Amino acid sequence: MFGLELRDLTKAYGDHLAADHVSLSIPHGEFVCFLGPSGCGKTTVLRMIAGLETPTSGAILLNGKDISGQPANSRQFGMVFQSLALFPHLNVGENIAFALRLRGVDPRRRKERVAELLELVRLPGLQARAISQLSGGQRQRVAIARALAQEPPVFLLDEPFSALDAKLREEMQNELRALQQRLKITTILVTHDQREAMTLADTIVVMGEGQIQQHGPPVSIYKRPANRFVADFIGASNLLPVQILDGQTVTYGATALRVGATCGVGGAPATLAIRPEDVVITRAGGGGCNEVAGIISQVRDMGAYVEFRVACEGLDILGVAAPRDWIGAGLGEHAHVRLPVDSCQVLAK
Amino acid sequence: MSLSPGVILRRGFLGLLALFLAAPLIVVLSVSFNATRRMSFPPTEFSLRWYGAFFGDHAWMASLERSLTIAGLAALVSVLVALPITYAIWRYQAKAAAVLAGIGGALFLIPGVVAALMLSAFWGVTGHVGRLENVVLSHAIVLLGIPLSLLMVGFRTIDQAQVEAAYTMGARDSDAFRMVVRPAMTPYILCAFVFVFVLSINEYLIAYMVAGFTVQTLPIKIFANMRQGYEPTMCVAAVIFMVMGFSAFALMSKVADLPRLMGRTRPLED
Amino acid sequence: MTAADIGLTAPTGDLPAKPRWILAGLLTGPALYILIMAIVPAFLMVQLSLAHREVGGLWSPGLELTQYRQLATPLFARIMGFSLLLALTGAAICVSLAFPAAYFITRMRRRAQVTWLVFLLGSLSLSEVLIVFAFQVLLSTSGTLAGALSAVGLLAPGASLYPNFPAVLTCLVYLLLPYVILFFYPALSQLDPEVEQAAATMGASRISTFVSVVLPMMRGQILTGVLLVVIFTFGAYLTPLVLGRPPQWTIAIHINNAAMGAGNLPLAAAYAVAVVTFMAALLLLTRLLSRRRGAEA
Repeated sequence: MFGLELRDLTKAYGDHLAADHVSLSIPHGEFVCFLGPSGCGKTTVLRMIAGLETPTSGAILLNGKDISGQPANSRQFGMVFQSLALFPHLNVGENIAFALRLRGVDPRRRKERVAELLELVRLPGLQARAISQLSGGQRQRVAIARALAQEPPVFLLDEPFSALDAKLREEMQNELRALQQRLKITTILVTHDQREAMTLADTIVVMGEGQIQQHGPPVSIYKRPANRFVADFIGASNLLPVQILDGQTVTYGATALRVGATCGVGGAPATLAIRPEDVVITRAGGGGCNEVAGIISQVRDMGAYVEFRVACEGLDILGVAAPRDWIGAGLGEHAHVRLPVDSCQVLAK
Repeated sequence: MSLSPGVILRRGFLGLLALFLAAPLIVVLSVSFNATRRMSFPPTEFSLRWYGAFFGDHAWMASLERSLTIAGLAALVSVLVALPITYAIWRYQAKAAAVLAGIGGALFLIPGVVAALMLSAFWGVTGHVGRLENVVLSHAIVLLGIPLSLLMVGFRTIDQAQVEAAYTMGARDSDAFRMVVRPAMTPYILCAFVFVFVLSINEYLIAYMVAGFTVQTLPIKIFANMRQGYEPTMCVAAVIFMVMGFSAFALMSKVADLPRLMGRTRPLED
Repeated sequence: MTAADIGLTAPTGDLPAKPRWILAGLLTGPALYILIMAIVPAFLMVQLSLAHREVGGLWSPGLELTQYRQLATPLFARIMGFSLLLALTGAAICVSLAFPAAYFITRMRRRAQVTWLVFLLGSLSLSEVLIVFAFQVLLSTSGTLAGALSAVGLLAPGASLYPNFPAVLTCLVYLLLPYVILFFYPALSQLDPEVEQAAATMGASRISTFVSVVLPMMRGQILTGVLLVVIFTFGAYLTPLVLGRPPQWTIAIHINNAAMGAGNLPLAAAYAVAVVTFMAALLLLTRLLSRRRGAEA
């Protein structure tokens, strides 16, 4: 296969499995984001791909060839580190030319390549600048240029933007995305920021407890979380404890709710997941199906939207309404929430 | 700016402290410029005659040269011993290296006279007595704790990610050492060298007990002079020490981040 | 700059392949050097303390406690007692001067801080010989200090300010102050200013913050600082020799006299072993004390 393949990649630290049988195929030129909470093993997987960490078992294949035994310095996957790891004793140009110097590229060619790369990351003419004189965003760009200088087969980034403020982060994300699409380079980025993953990735890989919980295009992960972990971690979700009644119905307390499909046998406990923006609130209730009555327990007008909570059957259901759809109710008033059939997802408990 | 009592108290305290620490130095310095042979303070008449006498005296010059040689070699040995140990701790987390470093640190903590006795007994048993290299090797081992801790501070400033970044760019272990580790460590190595050099050149007791009868270092000669009766040239020798020590550390502060070297890790604004 | 500073860093990566050979290459030389120059002499000293003394400064290997019996004499007890008294007095003065000094220095701006560090390092590195000599000049009959004191009638004309206990103590404090200040420097510079600011927002004055927040946080450091002074004082040789009279001679002088003067190496070794054992016991006690206090807090 053309691209990168991980086969049952496992890393154990004593009894703890930092990565637990991670298998994944990444086609050439794709942008993949590993997304997960801290300690989920995403950085461990990235470091194993880079060759900085030896897998306990499993294999890594590049274009069909097993590279598991190769050390980092022969893989030469460009990597941007969380701390950036720029060399403080070298200037911008020397940092970028580091890999070229190691390969014995002649000085003239080196100089051209550095100029090219600085152009690419939009820092033309900064060759002689000291690292300490750069701003946060400029450092990011230098680190990216340095990692790309060797024209790596795979480009790796470990939480590269976590130290930047929100505005700059977004700017850098857009640039990185544009750069990656221009270069068509297989890119793997590790992040705990789902917004970043949604912005950048062709494929998101959600990791939790050392395992891949789900992978797929960003929208499908958001719309169709495969399990409770993903539903909970990606975006805000209402996770209601329900009991399965039959193939199309579950019960939440005393209310029966119709859903697209259920999993498991009747009587089994399950979780119903629904996004807040799919929850519809009405004053009186239309008498239709999938309606639950409750009392408004919280209202937050955020300007662009209204966030509300309705206490139903002992649990708060979180919803979001556009200002024009907002019913204008206050705290403690009675209301009904409708959980549209198509938006309800039943997950194993 | 009006001064609060707290500020006055603090400045007064620090001023008195500085005066206390400077007083003996001022005494030696001014006595060395004294024209008379009598040891008197404050000096009566300014003269450079004892400087002339010192630099014209073969015995003094030989002692100075001997001390410089010993200090240079001792600093070299102790840095060369400490460097692989600290590198092994930093790069490979080697337990054996940590044990060696522990011994080195412990030696720095045993009373000077005990170390001197240990080493003089050792050289006595080997039958290799009264030699310059005895002092070199003895100073290097007793002062080993200094390069160990300074180099460790230095290694800690190198982000491991920098070395890893070098690997991902195709560097081998030796390339990473040459291109990343060594440039970052140079100021620390230099400082460790200077520190050991300065302490070695000033050390009396070990040098005396290990080879004092035949290898007369500058401190030994000064002390011998002191016991035999006062001679103003020894003040010149003392001034040389002071100048050497202070300029060495002043130089160090230009080359390296001195607060960090002395153990500060919290950032310090200019 | 003590053994405590030599810690392990925790690199995140795996160890590179085959570090065994690399480590052997790196550490064989240093290990041999430390073995020969530190471990062997230490064992030798213990062996020496048990050896049989021959005439003329010679000795033959043995396993006798002759020398250790001398340690049970009132003379040895008196020497140790005096050394300890000197050490503890010195420690009290040094720590109570050095601690606030280090505290103030760590709060200065960079330039001032660097200047102080250079000054402290410079005076710390000065030979004990030189300091003792300077104090001799300063305290001598013809010195200003004696002159000034006799002028106001505090001192008989022609009298000298040394040799005596205060002279020894002052010189020791002088020698040790830079060490102790620099010893407190790292810990105090690490102290988060926000902790003190937090105390201030709760109504504590600067002095009460210092006493109730800073001092307790540094309890372990202070104890270790005291230990540092004790160790150094027990090893001090020139200062008590030149500025003191025989009653003010520390154990170091007696060790040196036994070894170099009387040619009784086994006795010197026995003294040394006793001193080191005493130091180790003190070290253990300090550790225990700081840990117990730490656990209570």
